[in-house]
Amino acid sequence: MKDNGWKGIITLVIVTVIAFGVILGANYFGRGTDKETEQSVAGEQKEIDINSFGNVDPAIQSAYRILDEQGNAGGYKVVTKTKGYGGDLLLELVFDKNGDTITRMEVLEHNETEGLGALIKEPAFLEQFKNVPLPVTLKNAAAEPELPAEGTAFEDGTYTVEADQPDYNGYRNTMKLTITDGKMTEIIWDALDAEGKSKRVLSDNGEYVMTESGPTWKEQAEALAAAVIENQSTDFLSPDDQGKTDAVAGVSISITDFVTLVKQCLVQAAGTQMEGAQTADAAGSEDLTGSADAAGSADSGRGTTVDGVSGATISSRAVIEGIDKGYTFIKNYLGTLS
Amino acid sequence: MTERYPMVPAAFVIIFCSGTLKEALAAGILTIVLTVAASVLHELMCKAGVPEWSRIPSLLIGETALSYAAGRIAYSYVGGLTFDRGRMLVWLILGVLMACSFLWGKMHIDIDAVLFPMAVVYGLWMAAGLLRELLAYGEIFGRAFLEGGYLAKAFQSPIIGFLTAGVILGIANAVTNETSEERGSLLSILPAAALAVPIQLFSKWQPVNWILGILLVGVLVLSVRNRLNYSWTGKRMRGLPIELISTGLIYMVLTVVK
Repeated sequence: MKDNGWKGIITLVIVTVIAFGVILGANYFGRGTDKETEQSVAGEQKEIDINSFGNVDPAIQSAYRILDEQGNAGGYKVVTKTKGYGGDLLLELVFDKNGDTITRMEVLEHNETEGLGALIKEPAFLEQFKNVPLPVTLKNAAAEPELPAEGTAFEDGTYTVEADQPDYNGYRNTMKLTITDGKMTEIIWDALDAEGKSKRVLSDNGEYVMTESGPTWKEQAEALAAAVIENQSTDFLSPDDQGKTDAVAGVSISITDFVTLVKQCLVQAAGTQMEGAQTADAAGSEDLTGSADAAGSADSGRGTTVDGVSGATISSRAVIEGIDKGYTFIKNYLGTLS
Repeated sequence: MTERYPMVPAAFVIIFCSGTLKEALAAGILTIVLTVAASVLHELMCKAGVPEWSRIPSLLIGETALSYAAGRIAYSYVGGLTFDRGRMLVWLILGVLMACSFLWGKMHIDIDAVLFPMAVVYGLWMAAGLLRELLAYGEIFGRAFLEGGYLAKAFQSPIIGFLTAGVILGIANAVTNETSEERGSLLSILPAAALAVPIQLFSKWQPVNWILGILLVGVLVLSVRNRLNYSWTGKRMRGLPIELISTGLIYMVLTVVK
């Protein structure tokens, strides 16, 4: 029996030694596969205990100090988790020693759509964030209009807005909103394809089909419009991260564009000046391959504006959110050290 | 009939840790360490006459702590692996399942009898990790080998995780002349369903999604199990392997709802 007891312990020791060897080997062989070896994280990393800080944003998964040869903090690494279009998005961010710029960035994990949101992994998109002043914002992010203050009188009339750019399906959204006696009485949401054909007409004719059963696009647009007219507001719609709402029965399409266009019309009706109509997900017309050259332009104030992935605003915003949360964490951390 | 290797914990960890060769390498060897540790601890406590009321919590707590520590050390050290909240839960649950296998399962008492089947599982696990990484990213150990439109990130999804676990256990059973009991499959499937929720019916009420997902998977697996009793499956695939494959197919269907 003693032999059996010792046999088990010896076996455990041997297996543990083998395990260490395997893990050391995995780390050794995996080290040379970093694609950006000239920017690879060098130096020892000391983990920062994020749990010791109160009210840390739940997006922060882990954080490390990267020590230089003298043992001082030469930089910081933060892993963030944000909600993308298809699921969680894990980012690894390496900041400089002052936490002012990103020296390296990698998308560790994502569930975004291939050919669209998945393009956030491409070097052409990620290069925009390197060594630029933080924080970063998406171009056209400021285009989301603010509703006029409550109690603002709307001028009677018919207001139209049209998007500058088509969405990723190739349809350019339009909106016609009628105000009578200071209230919304008619909302017509439509979209035109490259040939100028109306999505309402196409869905009526059965040429634009989303599902075989279920309401057509036109029926859903009209249901949305009727709900907004009844409530005289868009606040009740509360679209989620994917632009969907549970507030109107039978509506399963993304309503982000609809809400933005209604707001733009109301801004016009309130007499507020606007620069121009834009769709909610028009993220610029630049080809991704060119965006490495057209790196984000620095604001006149702090931070940098960058191009999002065309047709993947939610994915792009998730990346921006991860960067900003990592940046905020590092700045707060550095603040505790001073 | 005694089990020669802890199938339920192995199945659970394979579902989540067989996406890349690097992770399969690290997770596999750690699972072997945890198996040997649980066996040694359990045997020592039994021989020392430790009463059951003490032995059970001791093994549960000790194995869970060991599992968490091993996972954290390995994942923090090996570059490219992230020990996020999801992985932490995987390794904690693995520790609990491993302890349960030795406390209430029919594990073989001889450590030699356990090592060979675990080695077979480990080899198959690494092969599966290599294949999944190649098909998902076109890479092996982070080095690019393939490029093309046929590469699909879906090979990293829990669907393939379940299918992989089922196939690995089936082949391991065939090689080691082992069979698996029907009991215990839910012990690996339900925690996996909790960590990889298959449906998102409500965008705002995540706890409701979580509970519904677990219940739905549990009910569907149990109903499939009844059908499988009357089907002609190979002796080595019966029980846990075929139920894992069935769960993968159930996930495939539920993905449409998501």
